[in-house]
Amino acid sequence: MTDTVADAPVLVTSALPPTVTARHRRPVLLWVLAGAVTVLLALPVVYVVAQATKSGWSEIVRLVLRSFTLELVWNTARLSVAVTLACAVIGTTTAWFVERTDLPGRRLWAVVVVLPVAIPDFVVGFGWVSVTPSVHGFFGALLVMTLALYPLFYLPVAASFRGADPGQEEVARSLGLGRMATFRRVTLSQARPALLGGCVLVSLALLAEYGAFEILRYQTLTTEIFFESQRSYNIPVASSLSLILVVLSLAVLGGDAAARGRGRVARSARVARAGTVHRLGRWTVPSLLGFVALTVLALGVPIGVIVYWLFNSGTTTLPASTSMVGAALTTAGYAAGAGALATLLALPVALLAVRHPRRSTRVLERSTFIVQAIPGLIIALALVYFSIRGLRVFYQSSPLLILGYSIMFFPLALVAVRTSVAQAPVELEEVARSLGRRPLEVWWRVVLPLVGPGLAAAFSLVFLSTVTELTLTLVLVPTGVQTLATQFWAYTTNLSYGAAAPYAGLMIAIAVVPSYVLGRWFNRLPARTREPA
Amino acid sequence: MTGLDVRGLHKAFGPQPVLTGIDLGVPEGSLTAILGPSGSGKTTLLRVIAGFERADEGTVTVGGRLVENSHHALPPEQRGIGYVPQEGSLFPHLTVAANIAFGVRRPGRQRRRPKEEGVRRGGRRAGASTDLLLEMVGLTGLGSRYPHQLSGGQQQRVALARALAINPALVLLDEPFSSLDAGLKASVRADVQDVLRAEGITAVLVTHDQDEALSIADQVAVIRDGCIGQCGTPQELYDHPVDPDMAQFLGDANLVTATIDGSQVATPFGTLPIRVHGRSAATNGSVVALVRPEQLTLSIKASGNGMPGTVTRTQFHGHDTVITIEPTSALPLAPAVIRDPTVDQHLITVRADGNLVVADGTPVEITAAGSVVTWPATS
Repeated sequence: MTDTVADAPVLVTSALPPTVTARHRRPVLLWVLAGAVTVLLALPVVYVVAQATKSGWSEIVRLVLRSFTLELVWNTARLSVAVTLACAVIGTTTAWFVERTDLPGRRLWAVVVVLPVAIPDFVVGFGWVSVTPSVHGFFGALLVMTLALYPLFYLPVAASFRGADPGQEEVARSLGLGRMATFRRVTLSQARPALLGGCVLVSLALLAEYGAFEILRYQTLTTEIFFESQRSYNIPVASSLSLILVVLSLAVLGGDAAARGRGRVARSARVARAGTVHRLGRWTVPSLLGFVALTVLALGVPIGVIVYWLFNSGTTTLPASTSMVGAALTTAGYAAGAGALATLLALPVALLAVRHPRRSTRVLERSTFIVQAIPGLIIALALVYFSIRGLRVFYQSSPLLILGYSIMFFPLALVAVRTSVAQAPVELEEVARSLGRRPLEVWWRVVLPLVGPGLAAAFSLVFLSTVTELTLTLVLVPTGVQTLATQFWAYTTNLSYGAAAPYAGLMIAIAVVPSYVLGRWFNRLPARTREPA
Repeated sequence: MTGLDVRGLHKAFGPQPVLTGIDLGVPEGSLTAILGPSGSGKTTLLRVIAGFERADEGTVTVGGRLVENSHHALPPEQRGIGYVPQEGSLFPHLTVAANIAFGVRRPGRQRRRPKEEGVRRGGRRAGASTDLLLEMVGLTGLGSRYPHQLSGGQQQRVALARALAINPALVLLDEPFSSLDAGLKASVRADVQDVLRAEGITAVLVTHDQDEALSIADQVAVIRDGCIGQCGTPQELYDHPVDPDMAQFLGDANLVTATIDGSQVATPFGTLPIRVHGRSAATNGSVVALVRPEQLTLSIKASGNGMPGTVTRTQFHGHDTVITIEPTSALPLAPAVIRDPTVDQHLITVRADGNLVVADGTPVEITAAGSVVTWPATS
């Protein structure tokens, strides 16, 4: 046989097809696509910098140092800190009760406490203001934003409690630490990445919020930027304020990175064992009352107000049902488009990061997360700026709006897509190939079934966020087109609460389905596979 | 007929050479173990054979059919090589039965295959049902389970059945037992060996465990510095290692400096015959000699024939006891030839009967039996 083998190459070479394995070629196509996505995402940053340099630094410094600007920064900063702290307390406490105690109805509460995530902040604000006009200013904003945003803490912290290694708590107890000391020194430090993630999500949401603050008459940087750019068309002031806002957001991300860098959460073993369940005993009733109170405040008020207006407003103020259906369809269409586009944009970046983990791909992936720090309003202003200068046809068009949503919610899509791509390790594809399946068949029969649920989750996340998005929509929506959010806003600003309510109801109804999917997805995920966002 | 023939295989990742001229022949129907420390390139070799990586140079022939040379390569799906990865890599969304049937094409949909195919293909098990394969790997009745409902050992068995289902010309196993615990490892290993033997399948197994390689394989190829350091039957490798380093790698070894005297070698344990082998036979004067622990015998009473020493540690293994002895007088050991820094070069290891009990600190005397392998002292 040995002799024939020596001859074989000469004999059979012609029968061999040229090399088909592309694995060790550099992933050129992926790099090109991911690079293009990164450039697209960088547009808002380019815009802010371009605006700033155009008006000149001395002018910016002058505008920034105005006492009014400093007051806006103070307003924004103190509210961010207060709401983040309040959300951390509520989110962590509820997560602990749901995951680690024998609270009656834990499964039900796990769903109920997340539901406020499906109610847009400005609807929560609307609910409270129409109950009592005394809810306004700093404390009004603190109340409303805490009730609207605490699930952003609950979700990651609950997941981390669920996934944490119970062995560490047991060891702490055996080393002589009491219950409280164990909670403080072990449980909380295990949840540290989740807590940091919650802080980032809440503070960034606050920095970017417009609608709720407008309703509550609380001035922040964002409300002022909106006013200057959309009402008084004072672009230099708007852009220098944008610069401050972006710097604040970047500071949040930077602080998070610095805090993360100092601590590592090691998990010694992958255990499926559930954590210790603490018995509440005589604290059961007070705890339950706490959950009921939270539900009434966060869910009961906004939903109750909507239901009240649906039944108690004169029929004349109710909008024609045709315009409601039209607005609902438009909204769903935009949301579906944004969900699909954002998921599509996230794919090359996720594939590159998961399949070709190198320093360069990590940097690329990280850089896309900077979009998180850019409030939707600034993304919208950037797109207006570039479409007017470059692609006039896109100005005030639906594709531009969908693109805006996709850029804004890209980080959400990336987190989900990245996780789902990691569900289909390349080894499975290799095995499938060795079993005689061609690359396309492998995609269809192995990769898609494994990645599909995660892609659906990415789509749903973006869909949900788009349905309830207001700020970017107000700037980019084509003239004459109405979405649920813009209609709601139009009636609310005219104080026609009764007419606005059905739109809020529809928005929540459309958002509930994806948020259910989202909740399921978060529940299924082990804590350690989650990307620190 | 050669089941697998690899010639002059080179592979580098960027500037880092991994394989530098691998030559390996695997007889049809036999099991060859590729043994090497981690990072030695053994998995890369397997992946090149499977078609997941492209070789920079060299040829791969499977069952007489050329699948790779430096210009052309068949994609993995056209090679007909079964692959069993380290962790099993079962498709998590498919049942056990669907996993096994994954590569099986329904009759009629069979794709045209090149004519150079090995003689074994062509349908002896073409229609082998999933049930038969499940029975073969001892998992009858588990076809409707999902992978996460199986134990690690069961997953490995399914992975093997899945690879066998395509009636492969060659099966590659990439450290298939390394993630299993000790007890399970032995039984899964034996079962896999039985299945491969019974079906007469050519198989290549990669491992870093020399016990595994020596006990399971018909032929062992030790990969070292990117090429095959030595290839032969387990006995050949154990008894005739090509150099001291190989001797050390393939099991416990006492390497001592000795003096050649005709066909005899004067070792510290006494004079022993040379096992004639290769270049070592031609050496004169000072040599390095290999004495395996099981060749040595301990005696408590001093007879003056052996080497005196003191027991420093005993490890009881049930079937035998491994005893470490510190020589009384500094030994002419041969440290220069041993590359493994973890080897304590001043102590002698003796493998004795399991019921021998010696307390630490006991003075003993060591004598040797059998023949020794020698190498030039300056190698």
